[in-house]
Amino acid sequence: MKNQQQRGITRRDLIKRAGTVSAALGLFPAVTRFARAQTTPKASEVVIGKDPRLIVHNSKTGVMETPLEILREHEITPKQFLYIRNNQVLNGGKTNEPIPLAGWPVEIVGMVLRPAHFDAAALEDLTQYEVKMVLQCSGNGRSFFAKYGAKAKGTQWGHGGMGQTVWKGPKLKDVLAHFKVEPHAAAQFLTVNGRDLPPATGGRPDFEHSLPWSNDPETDWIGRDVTENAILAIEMNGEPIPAVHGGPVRLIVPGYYGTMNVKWVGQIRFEARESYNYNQVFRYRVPLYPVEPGQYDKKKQGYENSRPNWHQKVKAVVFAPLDGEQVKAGTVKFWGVAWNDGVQPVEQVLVSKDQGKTWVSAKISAPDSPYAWYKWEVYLPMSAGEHEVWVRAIDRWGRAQPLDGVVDWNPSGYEWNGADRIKVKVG
Amino acid sequence: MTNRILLTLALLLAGLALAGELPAGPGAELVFAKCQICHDLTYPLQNAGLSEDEWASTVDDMIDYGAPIDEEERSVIVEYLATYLGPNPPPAEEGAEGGKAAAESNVDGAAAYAANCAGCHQAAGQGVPGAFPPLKKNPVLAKDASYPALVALFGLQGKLEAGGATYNSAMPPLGQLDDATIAAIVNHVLQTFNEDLLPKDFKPLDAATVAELRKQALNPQQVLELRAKLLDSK
Repeated sequence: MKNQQQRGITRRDLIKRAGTVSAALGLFPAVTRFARAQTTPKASEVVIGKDPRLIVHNSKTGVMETPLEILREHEITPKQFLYIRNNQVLNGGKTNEPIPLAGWPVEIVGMVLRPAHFDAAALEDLTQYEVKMVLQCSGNGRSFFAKYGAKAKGTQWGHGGMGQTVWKGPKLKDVLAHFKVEPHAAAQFLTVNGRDLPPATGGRPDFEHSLPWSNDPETDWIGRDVTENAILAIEMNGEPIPAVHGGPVRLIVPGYYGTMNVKWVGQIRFEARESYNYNQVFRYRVPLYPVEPGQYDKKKQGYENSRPNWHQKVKAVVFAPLDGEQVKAGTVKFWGVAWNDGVQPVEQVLVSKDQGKTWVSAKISAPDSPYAWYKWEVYLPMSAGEHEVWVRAIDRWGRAQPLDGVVDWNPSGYEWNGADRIKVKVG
Repeated sequence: MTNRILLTLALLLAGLALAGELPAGPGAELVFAKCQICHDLTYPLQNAGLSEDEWASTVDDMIDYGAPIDEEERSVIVEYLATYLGPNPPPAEEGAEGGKAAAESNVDGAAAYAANCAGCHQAAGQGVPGAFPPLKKNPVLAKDASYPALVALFGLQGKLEAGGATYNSAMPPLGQLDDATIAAIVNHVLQTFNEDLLPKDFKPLDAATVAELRKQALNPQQVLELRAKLLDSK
């Protein structure tokens, strides 16, 4: 029988030691007063290898946003700063460390002539393609729906749910050819499921997404990007993909919203219809027609009256000055980035300091990849006082950012692309 | 500095004075316990301003995702969210909420465990590997009853190992529970899930000891430090 001395630490000890620790740090509010307050951990405590300055939205799965003053400092967003939106967690996956390719099984099944089951290490032996692209959460900018008049439910992202990334791996079509998979002519969708699992609270549908597949990319614009350009990425920014960003294997479709770039790929299914998975039917979709802000429930959405968050909408974001920043009167340089789905080039970035009455064309530098950020800059004479500056991008097809983004309000606040508006104090 | 601007903006949007704090009111405890099974309080707080219908459909979504919320709890949660995080300013605080008298010591530990802990640690204390550590057959808990009480009072945060799996997460403090309830939960966890590990002279924890521990006002990282020290001691 053990007595307290043998156990080495007594209750009194524990109380005493606790007291010493608190005294040493000496910073305790009465915890009980804030009983229902939460201590949100820092990004670096949530995911190993992340910078503590990232804004944590949810520590349970690891959802975090990059402040613009960090984002704008890098041409390629380094892994310690890149945003994360995880619906589910891969066991042991909350880290920037990689997971080995060997031993990671992948299967390609469904409407195919020959299903393939292979080890991810086989992907290294195929011809590698590299693509620089904007990775953006489809909820990025959701908080602006609320700011400009109609709240949309969900994580209230600012602009920092995005980053510029470089992915490398074999093209999906080459993988199909290598394993002689041959999708059926009637296959129209690709449903991708990662090896992450829903929390074991029970009942929650496992996360997966469907993307359009085209057997005839010459004529089918919607499915062409996936058929022609999708890669099974095994590297991000020149290194094995960090576990938290979907390594060892992530489906990458340049130009598509982040959510469709499924992480931790375990299964690819060719199908005649979109998955009826909850995450495909009720989430990550927007209505095809305008709906009344705040009055439309996402459960009214179905295949016929809504579409998934596939192609990214054209968008410009101001990187400097930042909203609310103080600048000196005189000539002020405004700069930022613009991008779209890469299908057509971004042709114009227009800037207004009089609520859209007149516009100035910014100078644009095209990137070396159609899916990457276009840098834009413009010098405007600014007089003392408070000013609001608006910025909008337009591409070759005339796809433009609406001046009032709320016109595209949708129940879950996806795909915000209203003209960016920033307030500057000129002194 | 601009970081601060962003933060201020986020808070203004949420219409709140303080990040991470639920306004006191009936149902706050349930929201605190249930919502944090899957996500931080940041989410309900960020979404302050939604109407009752929108909150109801949000809670239904969460139930669809597997949140263990029954019909009765659903109505309490929706009413709380619509009242305190709804489109209108919440009613004035009702005072008595926080300092509930720790009246009787005969709190039902099993029921209190089911209401406050089972959502994450599961009904039989088995936990969920990688997400929520097991409370069943967990030796560090049985070493000293003060330790689980401190975890319940002040939460626990950081990297730890239990039952052969690693965890790197945060358990929220449950300090809103009164001393007797915390004692009852700890005794339930120890006597039901860790019976074989308890010293033969084990004495159930009482409310007075919990009251004493409560004065320490630790933070979740410090509780983790204590855990490490406790593990080191043989």
